[in-house]
Amino acid sequence: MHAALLALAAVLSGDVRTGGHWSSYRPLWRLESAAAVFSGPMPISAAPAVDEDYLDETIKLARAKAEAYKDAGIDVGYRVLVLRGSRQCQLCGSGDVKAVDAASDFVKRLVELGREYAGGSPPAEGRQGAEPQEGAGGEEQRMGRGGRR
Amino acid sequence: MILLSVRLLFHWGFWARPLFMSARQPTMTVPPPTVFVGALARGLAELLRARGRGVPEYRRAGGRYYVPLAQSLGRCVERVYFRLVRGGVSAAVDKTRVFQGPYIRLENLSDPSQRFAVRDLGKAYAPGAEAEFAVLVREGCEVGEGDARIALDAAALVAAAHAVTRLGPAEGVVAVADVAAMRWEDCVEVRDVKVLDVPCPYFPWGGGELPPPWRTTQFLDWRDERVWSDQRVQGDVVVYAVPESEWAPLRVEFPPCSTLSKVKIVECGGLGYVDPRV
Repeated sequence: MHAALLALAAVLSGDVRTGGHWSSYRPLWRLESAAAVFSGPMPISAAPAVDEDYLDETIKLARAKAEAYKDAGIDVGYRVLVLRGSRQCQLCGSGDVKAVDAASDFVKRLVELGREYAGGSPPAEGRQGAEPQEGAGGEEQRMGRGGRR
Repeated sequence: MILLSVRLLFHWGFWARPLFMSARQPTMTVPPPTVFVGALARGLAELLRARGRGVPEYRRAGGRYYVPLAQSLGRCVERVYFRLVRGGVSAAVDKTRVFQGPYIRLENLSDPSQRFAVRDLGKAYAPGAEAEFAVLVREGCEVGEGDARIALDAAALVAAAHAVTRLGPAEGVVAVADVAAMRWEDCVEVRDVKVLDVPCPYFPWGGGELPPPWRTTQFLDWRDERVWSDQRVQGDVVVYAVPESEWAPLRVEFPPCSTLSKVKIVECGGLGYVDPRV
């Protein structure tokens, strides 16, 4: 699980090259906004990041599902992790939501909460791997990834 | 009988392989019923695990694999419906690097270069589309084995449906937005014209004349246990009526139930479902 989380973190941080030909395929991208839901013992998925209000929709969905599971006699704990970016998020101040403003914080929290909800202990302070890899932290560097060959 | 209605949102879409396709892998333009029975079985497995009863994802017997929970759930499902409530599906083929382990010939298994290959992989794109699948389930039907058994009731089915996170492969992520369980016996023949204007789900075809854009197709019968094993043999099939666009066969939208004049349509929870017995 930890390895999978680190792999996901590496992709989100822009540390993984994609495409068949590096010389001709260098996508310009960066993580603008994101939502992740951590839950146990039942799963909760995020709302599709297609609509403008998908951050609020994800939070509403998580609450509704926790209630539905409760009706079936199962108490589900959950936490919604949100990278707000420039999007509106009216429910981001709630207690069941952890909202961050920087992509690097989102990735770091993603790994921590992922380990916590997967049943493992949260990573130790300053542990290697929970942080984005060196060179991926700055917005400028993530934009083009040029020079990191 | 319980009609379990599940509203879901596609993240990007889905893919569903036609039977026995391997090297060339297009996609069906609508997800087959086995996809929904499998997804619901996985939801039930989550529910059983949350109650402290372990359920295997698959089991090996006689040198072959099968999915025990889907197999027993399949026997409890009488009918499956699916419709797009909002948006449409556009099928396409992308070049994708895939693991092709199941299709390697025995004499080539030791060759690592055979394990991955670039294939034409069909995908049915439906970003942001809203869909509904509904299953007609026998109430009280027992699913599972040993200690991990559950008699299907409305509460268990609703919780299991909420636990559905994907359709088909792991990449087919969906968000279940709403779930409702209704008694099929309480559904009445539709009289409200508004219900007939809502997109109509695909349905088991009882025979007779089928107006365009509806056509018939064959799906694997989810009640046939061979479907849930890795035996690559032709199992039983069911004939379904599905919509097909007249102007582009790879683009699918669901027409309203008013396009079907010679079948009985019943209303459940404000939506219309074709009852193929009439």
